Amino acid sequence: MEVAARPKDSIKNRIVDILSNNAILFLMLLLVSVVAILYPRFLTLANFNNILNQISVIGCLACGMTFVLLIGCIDLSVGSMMSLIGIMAVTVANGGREWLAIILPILAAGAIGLIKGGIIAGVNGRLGESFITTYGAQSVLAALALIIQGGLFMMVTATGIFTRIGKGANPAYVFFALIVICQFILTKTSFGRKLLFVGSNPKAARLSGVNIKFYFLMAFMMCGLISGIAGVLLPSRVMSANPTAGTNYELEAIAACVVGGVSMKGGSGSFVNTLIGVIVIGVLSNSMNLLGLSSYPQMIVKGFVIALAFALDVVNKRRQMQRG
Amino acid sequence: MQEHILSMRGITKAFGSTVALDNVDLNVRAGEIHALLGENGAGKSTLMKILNGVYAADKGEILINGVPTVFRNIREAMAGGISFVFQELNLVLSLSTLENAFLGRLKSDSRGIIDWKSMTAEFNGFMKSIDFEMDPGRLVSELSIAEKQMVEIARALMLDSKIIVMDEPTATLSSEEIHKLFNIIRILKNKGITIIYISHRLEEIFQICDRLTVLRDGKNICTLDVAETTKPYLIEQMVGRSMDYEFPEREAHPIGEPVLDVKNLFTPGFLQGINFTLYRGEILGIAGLVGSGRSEIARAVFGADKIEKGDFWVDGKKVSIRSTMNAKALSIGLVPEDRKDEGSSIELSVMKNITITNLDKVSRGIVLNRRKEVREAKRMVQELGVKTPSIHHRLDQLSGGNQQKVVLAKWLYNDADILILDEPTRGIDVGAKYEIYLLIYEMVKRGKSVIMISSELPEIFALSDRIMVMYEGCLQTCVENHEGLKPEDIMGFALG
Amino acid sequence: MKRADISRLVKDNIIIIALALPVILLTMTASGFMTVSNIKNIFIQISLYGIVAFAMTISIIGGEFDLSVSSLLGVVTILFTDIAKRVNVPVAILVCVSAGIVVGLINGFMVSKLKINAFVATLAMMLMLKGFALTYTNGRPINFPNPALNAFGNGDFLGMPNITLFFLGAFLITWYVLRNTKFGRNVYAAGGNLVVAKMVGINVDFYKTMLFVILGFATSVAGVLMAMRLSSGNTLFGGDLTMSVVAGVVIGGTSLSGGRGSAVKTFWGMLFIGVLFNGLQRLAVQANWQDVIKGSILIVVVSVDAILAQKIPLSQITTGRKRKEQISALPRDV
Repeated sequence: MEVAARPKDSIKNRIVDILSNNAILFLMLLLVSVVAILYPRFLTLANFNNILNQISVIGCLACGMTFVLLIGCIDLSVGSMMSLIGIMAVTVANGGREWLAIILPILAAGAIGLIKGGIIAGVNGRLGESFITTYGAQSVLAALALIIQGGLFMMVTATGIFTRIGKGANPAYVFFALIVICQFILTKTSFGRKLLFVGSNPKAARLSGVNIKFYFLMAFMMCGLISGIAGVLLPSRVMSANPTAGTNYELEAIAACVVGGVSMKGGSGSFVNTLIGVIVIGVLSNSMNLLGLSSYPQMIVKGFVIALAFALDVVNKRRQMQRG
Repeated sequence: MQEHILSMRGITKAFGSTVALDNVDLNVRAGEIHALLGENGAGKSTLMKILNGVYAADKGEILINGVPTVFRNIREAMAGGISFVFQELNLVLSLSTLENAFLGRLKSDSRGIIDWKSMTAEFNGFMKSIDFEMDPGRLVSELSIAEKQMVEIARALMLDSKIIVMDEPTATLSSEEIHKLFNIIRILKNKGITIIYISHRLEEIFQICDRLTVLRDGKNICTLDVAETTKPYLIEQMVGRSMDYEFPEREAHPIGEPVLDVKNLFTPGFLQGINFTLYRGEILGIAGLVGSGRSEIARAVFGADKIEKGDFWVDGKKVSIRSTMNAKALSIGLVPEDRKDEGSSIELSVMKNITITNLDKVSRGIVLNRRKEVREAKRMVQELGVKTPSIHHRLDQLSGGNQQKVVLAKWLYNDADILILDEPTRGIDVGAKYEIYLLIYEMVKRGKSVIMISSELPEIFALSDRIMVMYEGCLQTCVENHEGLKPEDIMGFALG
Repeated sequence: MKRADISRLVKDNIIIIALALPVILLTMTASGFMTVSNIKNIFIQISLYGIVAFAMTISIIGGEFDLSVSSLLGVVTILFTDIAKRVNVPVAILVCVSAGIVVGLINGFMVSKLKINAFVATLAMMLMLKGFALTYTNGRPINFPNPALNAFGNGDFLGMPNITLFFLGAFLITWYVLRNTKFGRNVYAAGGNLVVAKMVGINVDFYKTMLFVILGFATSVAGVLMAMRLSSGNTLFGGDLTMSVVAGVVIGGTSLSGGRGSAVKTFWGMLFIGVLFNGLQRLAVQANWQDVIKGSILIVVVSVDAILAQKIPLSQITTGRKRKEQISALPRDV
């Protein structure tokens, strides 16, 4: 056999491996046990529902973000896009056309995603370019939301279908459905396979006759469409929309993906990773809520968790490299 | 016996299963110009990279003035009195000539303020001493390649090293510049500096070198005084592998009608009007120096690089190849030069790398049929004899030869009729090479046509039905029948 | 002068030509544009961000990028106002500058030692700083109307606004450091070709760390001045800092691909941004639309920069496949 011989890992090595590969999960387990001991309320069905409600909208956003990360890019503008979409949806819904209020904003979000993807594909960009262009797009979309709405809260006055989709467990169903559908697309269709291949090595994909620009476009469009879904769910759940509703949501979504194990280098990760990451972030937020931390210090913790997730990712890669 | 200033003894280095250097010795006397000769892949560069610490040797020792020494990186080697002029240009293109010459050792006062004047003076003084003119203020990005090479040389020479290693320093210089460089080398020699000189231009070896060492396939072949040898003898030593066991026996295969016609192919600043025809069942070899335009033909025909103009006919029909998608649809496949960077995604599984060229074949609608995909991938793996624990293993867990077979497999899976193989056996061991040759024969027997690009002339010689020789972007000649010719004759064409 | 030289001169100074256009248009359409007080006004508008822009220029030339400065600015204004109010001004300045440097050190450590991508590392830092600022203030601004500080922040010296003097000082220092010091030249080398810089013995990790430290320092200076000027500390201050600064730097002609650029280019680039937004204000364009324009400018500028970077002749490319083409353009092995 010509296959490179794998050195036999010692037990110690293997334990270190398991620990470092899943460090975030172990930390999470630790946190959960501490919180569960301090606050018995943590392990109740009601709190479980609570967590589900909290994670659903972010979870949808993270699903969209996963497409972009898989192709080796990032989208910092999904949060402000959500705000814009929310306003659009509520405006249409309050005008009485509730089905349209669901479909139109999602399509609009897809179109915006297509524009972003067009720019990235046009300049042959990857992580760096997508970082800066979508950072610019964030400002544009946020400002457009403010222009349209004038900085005010907007109550949902509609009473039909639009108000129901965000109620109760519906967002959670949408989120889980998205995870299943996206995972199916990624692993079971030729589209998903090519997307993964392009993300893993765009040059090789091109030299295998794959239209790589198309997949950059599609990744951003999928991200747009799914952020659009999140953008419709949010106002339906909270019964209002405002131009800053989605601020910082993109960071939560990125944090979830990365913590779950979707690589920023592209081509590695799946929606199962995203699901894990979303749950981890959700449990973390919930625990912090129970511990009485306000949303502000929670930002510090989340920033730290992002940095930690990346540092661990880099350290693990280096350990793998060293051992060949 | 004169004293050896540098002595590398029993150096052995393997990359995975490929042995790059096998018990190699290199003994260089103080003050001599010592040539290091050998074909591409003979191990010269690897040996020098072990000297300067880029690689660590598996076995063997390095003695400098009799003292065992190990440099961990180039900085240490430079501090230890050895400087290098590399094949690759190690320059910062956005900086000036002067700054590149002083890179890493800019002169400044204690506050870190740069002393431009004294650096300029030293640079100009040095340039004058070697009778070369160069504006220290020009941006390196604006220099010609030859001038860039001079900057690189100047940087090494201004270091006052005891030993200077020059890896093909004349490759890009005009004859006048080469003449100047040789004068510099002679001046250095008179100063008592030792030079290790790597080159393929044998006439240069005879002009300036004192002794030489020939490497072949990572082994020492001989160390000689230049005065005692002749050019034909050296070529034999460098190239002279017996071809009996290395290549499978040629089998007659029928050659049919033209399948690919390329007319008047130009690429921006490179290919200059290439015309050729490829016939069914034929192996067309493309020889030439690296950079002569071999790979550019491959990339242009596959639609990977922009072309300026040129017409393509496939199976007698005029076609347009503007993208790799076009080429794939026309049943053309490319196995690129750089297997890991462009040929495959080494982080993905064997199966995913094979089926990427034609996922429709294993899908129902857009949904992949996993069972069918596994079956197809297994079939390809079996057909090509890819040695892998399973089709689900990542490609980076396979040896180089098997990775290359997977890249081939992806095009055979798509049933490509025209296969362009760019350096298909680079960096893989002898056994795997043999299997790849067998596969190439098998393909043409099945009526496919192959364009094979290679730096290894014996390989081109043994396999090709016809040989095209490239030189500086032009088609130098097309040898219809090379029986009775020797590889050295082709080398003559390739050198212009 | 050769034709190539002229075309290079034009290309290198395209920003000045680009600047002339809005200046001429605004002089004609907006009354009061070409007045001393308005020009002073433009400089006041760009001075504080300009200080950061010069530090960002150094960092982009060195091949790195920092998203966290926008949050850091807010943090500094808050820290300064609060500490000046409770303790005294010198301590406040000391704390703020140290905070800037520490943040820079952490960013630098993450990038050079932990090898985390600079975008991601500074993104995480941005989030942490924002969280810190919000926690510290509970989301409310801190006000500290101190006449002396306010007078300094809004004052003039010899007819020049004080903050503009800081801006010009930052410009001159950056210009000199980048041009004539070992530090500056090695930053160019590291950004231009990291592999070669490492090879010739430049301590790349040190330089990368310093890039972030300088950014942290410059941001803390800008933050202190801003807090003095506005007598207030606020999480929201500096929200558009990264965007304006990067747009200014890249419009000036410093490429995001590293190794090229200068303080002079950034000076013109920031002036361009200043004139543009002054013009938009004069033409009474709504603030939100200005944000739309700012974001769009960033997108356009970065796209053009990325396309230009790919259009550089093969002989100038140093990385990836194109690097190989360049090398293989030389006849080599037989």
